[in-house]
Amino acid sequence: MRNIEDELKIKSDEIDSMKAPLEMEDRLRRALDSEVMPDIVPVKRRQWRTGKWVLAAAVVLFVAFGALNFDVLAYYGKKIFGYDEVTSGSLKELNTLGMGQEIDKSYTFKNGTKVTLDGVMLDENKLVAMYTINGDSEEKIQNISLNPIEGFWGSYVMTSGQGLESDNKKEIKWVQEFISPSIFDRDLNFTISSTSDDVSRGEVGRIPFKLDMNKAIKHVIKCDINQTVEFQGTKYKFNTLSATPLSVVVEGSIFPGSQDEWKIYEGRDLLGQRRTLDVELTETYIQDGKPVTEKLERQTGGMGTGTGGISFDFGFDGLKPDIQSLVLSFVKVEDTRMIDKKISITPGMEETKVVPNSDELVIKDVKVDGGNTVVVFDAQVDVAFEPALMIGGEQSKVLDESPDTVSEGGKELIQKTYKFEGSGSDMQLMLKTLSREQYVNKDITVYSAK
Amino acid sequence: MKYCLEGGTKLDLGQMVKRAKEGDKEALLALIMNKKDEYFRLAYTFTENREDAMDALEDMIVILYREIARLKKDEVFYSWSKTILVNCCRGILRKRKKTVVLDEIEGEACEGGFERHDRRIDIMKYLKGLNEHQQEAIKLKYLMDLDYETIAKVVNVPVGTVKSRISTGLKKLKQCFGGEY
Repeated sequence: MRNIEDELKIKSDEIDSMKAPLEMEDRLRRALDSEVMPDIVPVKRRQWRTGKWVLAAAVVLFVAFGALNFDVLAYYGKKIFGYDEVTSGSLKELNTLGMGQEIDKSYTFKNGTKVTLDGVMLDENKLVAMYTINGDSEEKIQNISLNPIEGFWGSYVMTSGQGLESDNKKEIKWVQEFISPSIFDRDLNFTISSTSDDVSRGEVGRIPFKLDMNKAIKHVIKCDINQTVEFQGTKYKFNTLSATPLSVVVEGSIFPGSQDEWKIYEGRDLLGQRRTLDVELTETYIQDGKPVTEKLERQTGGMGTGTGGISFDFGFDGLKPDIQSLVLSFVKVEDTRMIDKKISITPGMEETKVVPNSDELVIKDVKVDGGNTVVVFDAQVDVAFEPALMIGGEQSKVLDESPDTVSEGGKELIQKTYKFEGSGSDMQLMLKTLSREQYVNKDITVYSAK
Repeated sequence: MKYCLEGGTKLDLGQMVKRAKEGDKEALLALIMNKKDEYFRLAYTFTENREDAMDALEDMIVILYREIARLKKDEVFYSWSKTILVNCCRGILRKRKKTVVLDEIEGEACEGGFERHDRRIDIMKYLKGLNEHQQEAIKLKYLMDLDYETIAKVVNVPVGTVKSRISTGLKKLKQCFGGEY
């Protein structure tokens, strides 16, 4: 007679004899291929006129050089041509000023797809690579994947980037940012690989290039912030700031006040929430003799666990000349979780809770107005969400979004009314994530010229 | 870069985790494929279905890719990734409503007269008579042959809790089958 343990042993042997399916590797690779590194901006398909770059660049170069007058612009280098539409902000201004280092070296894959590293730009915070992919088809140019830049002292991972495809879909220009290489790493390899399903599948290409540290963009402000903000038991310490005309990076640490808070940062809490911080940086600079105050565009953000706490960093666009002050604002913390809801809707339907048994977000009303679909949501005041409406399988455009504050049963709620283009018999609302926002609103002056 | 690990090639765990942290997808894939049978068996044990197991593995690798930069100790990669796999399996089970209500199973499983003396019983069916935590702990201990410490890491509870879940679960199974079992 067998006992429970024997029965479990039989089942265990059965499972032990199982082998992973042959397709497992391909399926996992495909799942990974659809993923991009956090913060990477997907390829934008915009119209892109060729042939007018040189003239436009010459005009902008003349105007902009007079306007910008950094001491740090001691080096006058080469503009990397063809990137006016892919770049923006200070990167665009600095490229126009010729702050890039021209590389112009290529690698051609076995299927004929060619990758050219046109140039790079470097400061203490990041390395920007500008490269072009040319191929026979859109599929081939999109099947080139970028690997970290390799150096002797380490490899340098990409942090963000964007690309622009040409009208004929046979060329794509990318501007890709990487973490700044070690100062000892001058000889680097720009590394790409092919995922095309042809002779080049898995082929890795390396374009060796040399960094000229004399052409690196130097910092304007580099300081310790050393300010701690305590919010709901957790300490957020802002440690350092490094600012150049190309980029600004703020680094800090988080010391969670409880195990539950730790779990949120590590993505291990019961709801699977992940926490992000919303931090803004505002600069005041002198333009035409008058002070101008502007928010710097946030470009990157990251968190990582380390000894004694969690580290974070935020990357912003570069500083304007003649900087007078920099103010860091810790705006809010936001906890986001996947809900992945698809809800069929019809005009006049009953109130529906988006998350069962939760009043966080409720579909109050659905109606058709002038051929368009209007959906009214009631959300708890700290809840943030972004709905999409699929009509007959096609995503509908959001025509209008208006928030209002309402009171129900003595509780204040945010009522959001969305107007989506069109209507139909098969309509599905899709909500991928739900966030809860908690405002901190704390300002820290990190630099003042006075 | 593609990492070839067939034929018993020894994997440099630290180096591969480092590369995976830097965004190298092939390094991450190689880490998983190096123990592909273990991962598949773990997912299958939970989902009891090949297709669901593959879905859970796909979910897992995407999460690993997004989260690996947060991994504090490279040497715990395997237990960390298996914890994530277990969570993915739980998510799939919940989503597909495969959890069977305890009362239904107890009623069905504990009625007398199983043909247990004559032919093999379906142990998986009777495991469903336990609560989710007990099922998990028993599956990991007896079907995956993991020790208490490893189970504690994978399901993220203290070792004592694991022992208690296993002991209570086994007791319940034995009661269900009658004294001789």
